[in-house]
Amino acid sequence: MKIVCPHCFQINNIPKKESYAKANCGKCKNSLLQKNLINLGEANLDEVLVNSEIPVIVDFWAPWCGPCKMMGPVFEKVSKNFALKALFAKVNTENEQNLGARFGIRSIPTLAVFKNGKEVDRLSGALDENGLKQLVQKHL
Amino acid sequence: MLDLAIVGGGPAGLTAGLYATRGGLKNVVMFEKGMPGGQITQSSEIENYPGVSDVVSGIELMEKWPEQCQRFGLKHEMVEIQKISKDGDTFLLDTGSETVEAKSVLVCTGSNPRKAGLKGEEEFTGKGVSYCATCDGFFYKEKEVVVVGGGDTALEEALYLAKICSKVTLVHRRDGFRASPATIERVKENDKIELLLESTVEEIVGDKMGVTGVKVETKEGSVDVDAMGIFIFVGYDVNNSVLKNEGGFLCDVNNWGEVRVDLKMRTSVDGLFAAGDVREDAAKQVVCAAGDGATAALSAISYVEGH
Ligand SMILES: Cc1cc2nc3c(=O)[nH]c(=O)nc-3n(C[C@H](O)[C@H](O)[C@H](O)COP(=O)(O)OP(=O)(O)OC[C@H]3O[C@@H](n4cnc5c(N)ncnc54)[C@H](O)[C@@H]3O)c2cc1C
Ligand SMILES: [Zn+2]
Repeated sequence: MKIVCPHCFQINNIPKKESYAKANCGKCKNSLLQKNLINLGEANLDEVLVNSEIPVIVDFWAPWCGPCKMMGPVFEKVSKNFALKALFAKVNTENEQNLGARFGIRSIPTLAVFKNGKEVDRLSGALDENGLKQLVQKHL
Repeated sequence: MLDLAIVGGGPAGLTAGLYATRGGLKNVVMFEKGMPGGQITQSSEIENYPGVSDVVSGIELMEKWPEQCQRFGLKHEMVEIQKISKDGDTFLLDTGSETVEAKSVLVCTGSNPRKAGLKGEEEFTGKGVSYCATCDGFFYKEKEVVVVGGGDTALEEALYLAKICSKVTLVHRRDGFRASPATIERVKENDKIELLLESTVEEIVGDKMGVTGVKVETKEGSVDVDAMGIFIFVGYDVNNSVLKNEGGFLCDVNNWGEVRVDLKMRTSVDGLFAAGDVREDAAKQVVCAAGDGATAALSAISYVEGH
């Protein structure tokens, strides 16, 4: 199964398992289990989406958005529960206006779920921990 | 067992936490499902919080609150409380995965923007329908938008949108506004804002990409207004679901579901307090929510010390 390393963005091929005791990136040697949240921009989004065989959960946000800020720590906390199951990513729509336009973002926070490069689900509005877990679980 | 459990981390909950811990309660946890700050973080501007004389955004206003309010030992747990119940003298808070016990509870769950119940509103939420101009105004630069509502929030957010958008059509069902005279004046003078009074939105229309316009019923008949965005500010619904128990609410609420309290923020249940937007007759202002929080904390201290 292809996994993008959240530390160095190297594509790793790892066996698919129910759970992992240990998994390190072949290139940077950092643990693939410890960090599961990355920032995406125009430069790396497509590359990450097509090279992830696990679902990618993308949070479109901006610094001036209260509900986005509220959800920020929830998103990070929940990301840790899904290492090597689903990759969590953030797109700052202030800096990445082309991506905002490309994905037709008109409201933030918007959460989009991608599988093999294709968008399969989308939700707008802040989610709490349980809501977010349910959304991810649905796509595993 | 907690001395005091605070549910909600907006202005009311944060202030209550500050007063409760500084006032001597040891075991105080504020349950807030996200980052503390509350709904004012959705506001583009606030200019009526005394002592903060610069016009700041809601996010800026709230930035320093958590640090100050947690200085005396208030703990924040990022948890959404599902249900509050009472067993004898002990309160039980259901977090979804465990039950937390507390001697006293303060409900400060605030309120949420109300849906207007318009045709197309649900379908286009996130695709042109928005309840937060600060969050989403950015996506409508030089575009035409519609604002629905006639209170302070609707007018203030219309003024904010007029700075970003090419045109703002304000649709309000009455012929007068319920807002501060200064704000009404600014709206009337703004040449980017067009008023459609005594009018209602019949339907929000759009395509696959999202909203393209709204049909408005005016005194002169139906008109189509082109717009990519529609911002709805028609009031608030209080967040009282945590108080729902089998057979009704844990404490007395009024016809709108707002929690009944006395001047000390005591509810009909001993040891249960409510503060801020969630209580009846709330002015729905940050300064009032903060004041309520302080009052409620002092009442909780004397309740806990008396038991
Ligand atoms: C767009 C806008 C503009 C405004 N402008 C002004 C203004 O100019 N001046 C002014 O004074 N006021 C203004 N207000 C009103 C002001 O924001 C509110 O009156 C104030 O925030 C109420 O504070 P509160 O603590 O009672 O509730 P809230 O601020 O609503 O906070 C409640 C908190 O509880 C949390 N919560 C809810 N349920 C649960 C649960 N079950 N478990 C855990 N956490 C939970 C929520 O996440 C939230 O953070 C504005 C509001 C809006 C939306
Ligand atoms: Zn790596």
